[in-house]
Amino acid sequence: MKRRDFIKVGSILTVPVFFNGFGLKVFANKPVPSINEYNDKILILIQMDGGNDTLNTVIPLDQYSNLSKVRANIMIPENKVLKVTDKTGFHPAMTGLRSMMDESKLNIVRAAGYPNQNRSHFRSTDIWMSGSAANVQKTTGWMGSYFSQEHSDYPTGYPNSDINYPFAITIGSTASNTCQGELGNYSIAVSDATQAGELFEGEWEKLPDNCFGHQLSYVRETIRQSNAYSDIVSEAYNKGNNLSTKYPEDNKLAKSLKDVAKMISGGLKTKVYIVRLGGFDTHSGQVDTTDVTKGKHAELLKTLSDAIEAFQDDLNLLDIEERVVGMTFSEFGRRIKSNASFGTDHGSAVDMFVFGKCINAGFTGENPKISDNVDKKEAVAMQTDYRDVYGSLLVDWFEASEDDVKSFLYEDFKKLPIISSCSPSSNETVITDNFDVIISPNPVSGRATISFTSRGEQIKVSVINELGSEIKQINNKVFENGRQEIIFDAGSLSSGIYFINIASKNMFVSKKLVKI
Amino acid sequence: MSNTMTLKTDKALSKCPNPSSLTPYQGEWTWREASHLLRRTLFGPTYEQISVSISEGMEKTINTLFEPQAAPDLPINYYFANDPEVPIGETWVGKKFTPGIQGLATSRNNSLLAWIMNQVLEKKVSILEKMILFWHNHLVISDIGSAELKYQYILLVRKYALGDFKQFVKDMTINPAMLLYLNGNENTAKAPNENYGRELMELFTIGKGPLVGDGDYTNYTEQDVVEFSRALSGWVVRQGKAVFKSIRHDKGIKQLSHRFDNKSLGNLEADEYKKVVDIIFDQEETSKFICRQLYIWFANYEITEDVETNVIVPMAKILRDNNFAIEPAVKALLQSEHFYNDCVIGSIIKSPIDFSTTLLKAGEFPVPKDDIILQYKYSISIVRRILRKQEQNYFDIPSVAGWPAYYQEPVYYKIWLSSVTLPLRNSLVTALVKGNTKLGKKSLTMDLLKIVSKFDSPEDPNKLLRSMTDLFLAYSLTDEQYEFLKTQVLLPGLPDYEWTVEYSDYANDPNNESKSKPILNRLQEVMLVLLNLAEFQMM
Repeated sequence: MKRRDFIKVGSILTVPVFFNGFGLKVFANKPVPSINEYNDKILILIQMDGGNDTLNTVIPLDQYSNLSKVRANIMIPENKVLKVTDKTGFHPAMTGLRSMMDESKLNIVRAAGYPNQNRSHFRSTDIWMSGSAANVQKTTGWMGSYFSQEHSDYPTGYPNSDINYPFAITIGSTASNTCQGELGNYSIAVSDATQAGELFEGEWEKLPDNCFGHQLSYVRETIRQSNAYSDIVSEAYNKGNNLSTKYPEDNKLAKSLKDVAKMISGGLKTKVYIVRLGGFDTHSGQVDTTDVTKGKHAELLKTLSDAIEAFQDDLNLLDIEERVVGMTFSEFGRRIKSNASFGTDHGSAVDMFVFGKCINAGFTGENPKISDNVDKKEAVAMQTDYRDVYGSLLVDWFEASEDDVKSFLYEDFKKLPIISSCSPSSNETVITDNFDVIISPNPVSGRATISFTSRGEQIKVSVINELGSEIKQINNKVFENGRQEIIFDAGSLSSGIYFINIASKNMFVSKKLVKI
Repeated sequence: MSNTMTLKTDKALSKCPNPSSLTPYQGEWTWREASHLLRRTLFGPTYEQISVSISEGMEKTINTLFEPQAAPDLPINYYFANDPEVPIGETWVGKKFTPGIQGLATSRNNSLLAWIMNQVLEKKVSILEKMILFWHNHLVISDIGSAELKYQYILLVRKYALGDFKQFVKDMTINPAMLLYLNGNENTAKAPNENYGRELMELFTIGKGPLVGDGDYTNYTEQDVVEFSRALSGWVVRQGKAVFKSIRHDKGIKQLSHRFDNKSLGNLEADEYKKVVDIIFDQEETSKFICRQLYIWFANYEITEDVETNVIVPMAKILRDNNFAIEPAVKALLQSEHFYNDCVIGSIIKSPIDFSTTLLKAGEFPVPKDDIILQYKYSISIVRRILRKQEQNYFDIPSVAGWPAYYQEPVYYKIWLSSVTLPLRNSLVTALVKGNTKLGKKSLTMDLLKIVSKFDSPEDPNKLLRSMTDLFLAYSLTDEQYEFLKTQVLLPGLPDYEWTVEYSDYANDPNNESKSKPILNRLQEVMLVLLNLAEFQMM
């Protein structure tokens, strides 16, 4: 292991332009934005490159016999399928996602796609990235379109004093096209020193010992230093934490998601993280010829499922679970009929996994119907327009208006009930305010007095940061009946917004504290 | 840890091998050598130009580079309707300039800049434009308002760019723009102005050596500055022409220092400046000084003792043996063994002009050649949006010493890069690759489909990436970097054949946008990575 605790921002030049150091725009003067700056929700996009074979991922048990006729050589034995319901089960490699289903943290959108499916990897990826219809050439990404609603001048004037963090981060060396805007890409590329970025940059040790090598090392260093976001990202990463022990070794996706969790827990306000997992283009050797539950596809699904499970576990332990939702996408599903190489060819609609604590668990849509006479070219038909999924996340998670989504994404947008109402963690939350909590002075620079009424019970008083993580426990004991006063010295806190949480077995109150 | 190896210090540079001398290069002539030669002598060679050079060999390529070029058409008024003398589409050169017409001076200056850019963006295998910029940086004029005078200056530079350096300096001494820029026109017997006399020696010809005594700069002394300045007095600029006014000329004896063998100069009136230049050129140091400047321009800034002995000294001898004709000396450098060694290839950090012309020319930007007015507009937009922003523009040089990248020790070319200029370069790359720049209604986009169509087997992703890096980078990437470009950028998670299938599909139906656009998008992805690599900052 080398340089594990070191994240690289911009191993290549991904610097936005900034003039005069600070932004040219003052957001305070604007009308109420369609993008809520105070919304602290985060979206994780997991791109499954290559086109995932949905039918061997989420297996329609009620179609098993017809399916067996046309994909016998790759069909998962019925008794190996991880059953979710009587009609539907998962590939046996997906134990992690299976248990998330039990925890009500997974929603599977069945057969998402678009009319007139294009079976070219490149074109279909472009469509999924841009959020366009099949016959429309769009150069911006769907998240890029969303960000540009409020920040159309980007990258001119960014970062600035209001938005000093990248809007989005792609883990890897290139910024994802999902975040491409008119003038720049809203995501920056961030790579782990142990991963591709280093390979890509070429190892410094291997630089030729000649003038080219000497100059090159200078240029690389200058690029690194000039990346406008590198400090804020590295700072959050170094401040952040991972608590889950479930992250598997040798799982590239898990490594990426682990870094994401670390950045989020470190306080980075970035809204969107994009990670990728490639290899789903399983034309041949999708399954092991001797054991169909093994093989390329099984490994990929295990990688995906284990990584997501560990990530979710980490978010839970870090107490930031309510702020994060994830979504997978892939450019298409594959054919119903398998081919003779124990694989499947390019198809149409594909299932999407939406995961997190704040989602309605279960299935959106139904099992595909497999006829008893499947054509060689036939693929899973679309049930849900993928843009309805995008739009639902924008509306219910990022608080975009439905009208906006219709105008910049998809005219016929229909919201799907994917997101559930999860109480926001960083806004002032009062479940039952019977403690009569008073904090004074507030804002505070040094000592504050916290007073509250106790019913003679065990009460825990703690300080929570803006991200919802507990940073200090002030007291956790039985308080006598009556009015109580405790002194809290906020002197060591850095300036910003905090919450004083007061919790008993039956009550919970959170009050905002502003440190100046 | 081994990665703490510091490569940044210039001390490390002395480790560079600097073998050989001006012995002609005899090695193989491959992409590496051919592209190196053309990157250093052209502004942004194209794939075709490099391919042709490989098949023709070094000698033929160098001969082509030095072929005489026809004079370009005169610069025209391309947009200004209120010029009383010059209708749109006609030249303003030699035409009356009426003061007080708002926008007139600007229109002529814009025209001149666009006209220069027209030549620079011409896809021609000729060293001329690079030599012109060399001389502009060496015999600087800046802050001159009159487009007419600047045009006369640049004509002079064109005339002597590869010619007789000595005669060039003589003509430049009484060039009207130069007389104005370095106050030669204010230099009179009664009120001498030493500005030109000083720079003539310090920067233009013999160079300033170490200060070894009171006012003694090894190659010349303060006394020589005073005496030469006297000899140069009497010239003024009248109606845009240099005129000698005998009455303003210092007619006394000018006594030079021991640095010029205590020579003295009597009154030669209007011919006296020629004698001044002759005396300076009689010193061997003058030939060496200009060769060092040429070396920094074309090869590398690091002039070690080895380089001085084995490259500069013999080059200077060639220069003297050819009566200061520049061409043989530059040719000798470009065809030397030294020029193709590891310490020269890839060692230059691109100037803003090199950086942007590489994007534009190697990037196959369609120059609107059939419409002269549009061509001027295209060129001026390059000047405005790129050169001016990145602070390397013609007639706008920070000081008489030129751009610091060519003289500022110890950083030299490194000075081009900073946290201000890198983002500008980055946004330029994005704009040009993604087509976010517009010229009129047309958006300017790097024509990637055209570029790759010229490659050998673009449907093979491995060959495609090799060709792309060959075209844009001076050095090959490592195998890991290629692997990364392929598996993470061009074909994330896909097997190689998916590229072949989709590219061939497009190639058979190239006008079908639903097939070409996805290919273009992949190529753009690769380009965005490639052109934002540190490696692309070098040439």
